[in-house]
Amino acid sequence: MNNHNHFNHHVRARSEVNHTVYEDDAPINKKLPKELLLRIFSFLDVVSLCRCAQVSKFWNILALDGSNWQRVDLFDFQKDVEGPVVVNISERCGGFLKSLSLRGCQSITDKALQIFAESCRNIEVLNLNNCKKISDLTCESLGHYSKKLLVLDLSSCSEVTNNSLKALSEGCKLLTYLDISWCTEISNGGVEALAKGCPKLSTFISQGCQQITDAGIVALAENCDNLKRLKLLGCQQITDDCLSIVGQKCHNLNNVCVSNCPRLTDTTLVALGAGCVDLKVLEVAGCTHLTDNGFQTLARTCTKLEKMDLEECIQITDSTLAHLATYCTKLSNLSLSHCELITDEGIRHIGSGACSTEYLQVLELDNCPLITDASLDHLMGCQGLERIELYDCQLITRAGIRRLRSHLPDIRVHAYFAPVTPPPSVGGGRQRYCKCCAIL
Amino acid sequence: MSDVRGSRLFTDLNNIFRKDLSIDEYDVIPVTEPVHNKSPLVVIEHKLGVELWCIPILYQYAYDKLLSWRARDGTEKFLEPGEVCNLCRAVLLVNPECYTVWNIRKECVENGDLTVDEDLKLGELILTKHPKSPETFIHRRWLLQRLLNKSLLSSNDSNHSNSSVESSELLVGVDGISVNFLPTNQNTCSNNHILPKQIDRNLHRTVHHEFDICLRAAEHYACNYNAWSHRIWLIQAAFNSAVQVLLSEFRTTVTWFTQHVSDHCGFHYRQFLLKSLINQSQAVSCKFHVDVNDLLNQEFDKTTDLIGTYPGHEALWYHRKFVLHQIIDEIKTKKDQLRETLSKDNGIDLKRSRVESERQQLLEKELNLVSNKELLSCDKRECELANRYIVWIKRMLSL
Repeated sequence: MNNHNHFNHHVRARSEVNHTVYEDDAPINKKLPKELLLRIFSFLDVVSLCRCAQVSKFWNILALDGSNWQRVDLFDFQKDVEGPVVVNISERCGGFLKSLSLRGCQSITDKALQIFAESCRNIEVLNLNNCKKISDLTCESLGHYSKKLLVLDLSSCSEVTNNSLKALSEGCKLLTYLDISWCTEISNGGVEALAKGCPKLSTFISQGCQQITDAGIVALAENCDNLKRLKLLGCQQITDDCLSIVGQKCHNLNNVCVSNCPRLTDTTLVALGAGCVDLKVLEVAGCTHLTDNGFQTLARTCTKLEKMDLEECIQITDSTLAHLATYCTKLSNLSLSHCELITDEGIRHIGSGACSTEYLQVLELDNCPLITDASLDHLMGCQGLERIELYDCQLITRAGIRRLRSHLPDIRVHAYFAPVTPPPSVGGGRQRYCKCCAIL
Repeated sequence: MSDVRGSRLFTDLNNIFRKDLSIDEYDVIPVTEPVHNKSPLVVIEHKLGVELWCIPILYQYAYDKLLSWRARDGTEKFLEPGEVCNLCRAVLLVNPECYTVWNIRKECVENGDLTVDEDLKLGELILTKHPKSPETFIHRRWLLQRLLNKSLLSSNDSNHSNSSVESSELLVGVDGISVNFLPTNQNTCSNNHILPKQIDRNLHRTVHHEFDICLRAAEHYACNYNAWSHRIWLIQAAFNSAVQVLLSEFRTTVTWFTQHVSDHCGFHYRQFLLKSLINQSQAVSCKFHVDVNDLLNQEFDKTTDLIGTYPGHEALWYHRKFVLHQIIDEIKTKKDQLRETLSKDNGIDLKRSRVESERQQLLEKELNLVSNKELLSCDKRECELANRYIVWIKRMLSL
């Protein structure tokens, strides 16, 4: 990748371009003023810019002008990017840089990011996913300089601790999106500080942060009433208590993921149903205590639900499906994997529900041992259905799948059966016969 | 659609390994077509069965994904280390000769994404299905070498602090590992107390287990050269060919050979043991009061026994040739020694001829024995083998 050498070699502050037009200059440089060239460059991506920078000295200066580098995504070069690259980019771009993604750039260290934070103070979106080497020092300088930060992704930065969140909460008051998934050191203290400092937070993602418990989430719910998206996958400590508060306070919530939080019960569903009527996405995979009662209450109020992941909610029965089919008219994705009590009757409700003809796109029924070909017959009216998962449904037969396909030709059916090969065309044989006849 | 099934099969496989940590064997179930819509991966009592039809799909999926990630220009730009390890496992279970994938696993071990023990466990599982896989053994050697180096390093450190004998510490360090698995335990006059026991106990268990794995692989696949040469490597690398280990191996493997009389690779291993013992014959006799010549003679008698009991096995005859050759060699070295001690004496020629005649006598005796006993055998194959042997002896006699 030549591009990075460029950053290394041309460490120059943004310079005033004094370009006099020579006779032998390329026509494009004669015709277009540098402002227009700059404008054109501003539409290019990183790779194209670096290519342009190698055309001529003039273009080099123009292409590497900070104003072209407002959005930089280095994900494609994650293994090559090292500290100096970031330092050079930040020195070149300065205040122009608004969005930077260093996703997966594992060699980046605190030092580079401290320089970055100091020089690019207008940064709004910063993605540091999987930058494993960074620690609290980075977040401290972000908190100090990046007052305009809106979106920050720190997922899988395993050295980040509560101190980081405290620093962010003191400086980045505008923060709306924070992802701290798999930062396993973080606990309630950090989340509480964050909640108090950043009241505009609308998205909070903390997958696999096992130390976060009810107290942290309650603080979040009480301070950030604009919360729209909450993803707590695998925070196994949380219970109904905090989600009840969430239901009471966060009325704008539309996307909740509490998969693999096995302590939750129907109380959570009731609270969400009462408070969050805008709910569109609900993921509760692996919450084995949830039952029909909870989902019935939820379905009656949260009628805007579009996506539901109920994998391994092993207690639910056809009654839940009947309610979903009746009330949630916009349901498009439904996962019922490992819901072993579901029968054909439940699928009949889904197939005849209000959502079925138009909205339903994805239906996952893998490992539902009771459903049979009858279920597939019930689904034949779902014209929008794109994909259906049937792995390990042992009562499903090839004939059933074939029948479904004949009604819904574009559907992708996922089962252990071999993909249906078109039957050997009989026409071919006949044609040959006819040819023979002709010859004879 | 087949690629879609690939990802599902891969998830199934990972789930199986997540739920059952002690899967100790796997094999293919000959089901060529998916008859039912059920998972083709079956686990019963920690044994994994994989239906035949799904293997190409699973392999294709895992291999493509892994190599595309490896090439860095494909669609897979970023994979979690855990995912990489799982993909490697899926590929290797099907095809353990893929050394690119083994190399990826080596990188995982070096980066700390995978522990050596986990990797050894996978290798062990693979050897139950592919007992002869050379790449698997090579990878195991790499892993074990890593463990050994680590243990040597730490034992060196502690030895320095104890300011003990520096010159022999390397030898003692590896010697000591075998101490409690020896029958001649009481004979060892070693200074093992300087060893850091705790690290070594772990290593000792691993290495001891490695011997079991070799034996199992050798039993699963006749003439498993890779398994036996792995065992040889183990003795050389982990025990520095220590006499006590050689002796105990020599004794413990006797029964195995009487049960596998046509396993030439096994006999090769035994020949390695004998050769190493001969090379260190002085240490053998002073430390353990065992004469190498006695061992050779015992081995010779043993082959006589086995040939009599199991006629028609070429490997036995070859082994007999080897032992006889070694005995003659020993006589020759004795002769050399004698010549040295008697160099001033005038009776060199006399002595020399006596030794010479000793060799002649031995060969002639052997010739008579074989022609009297084996040529009368009713087994046609056995007669042929005996004839070849006699030709060989005659050539030796004429030398």
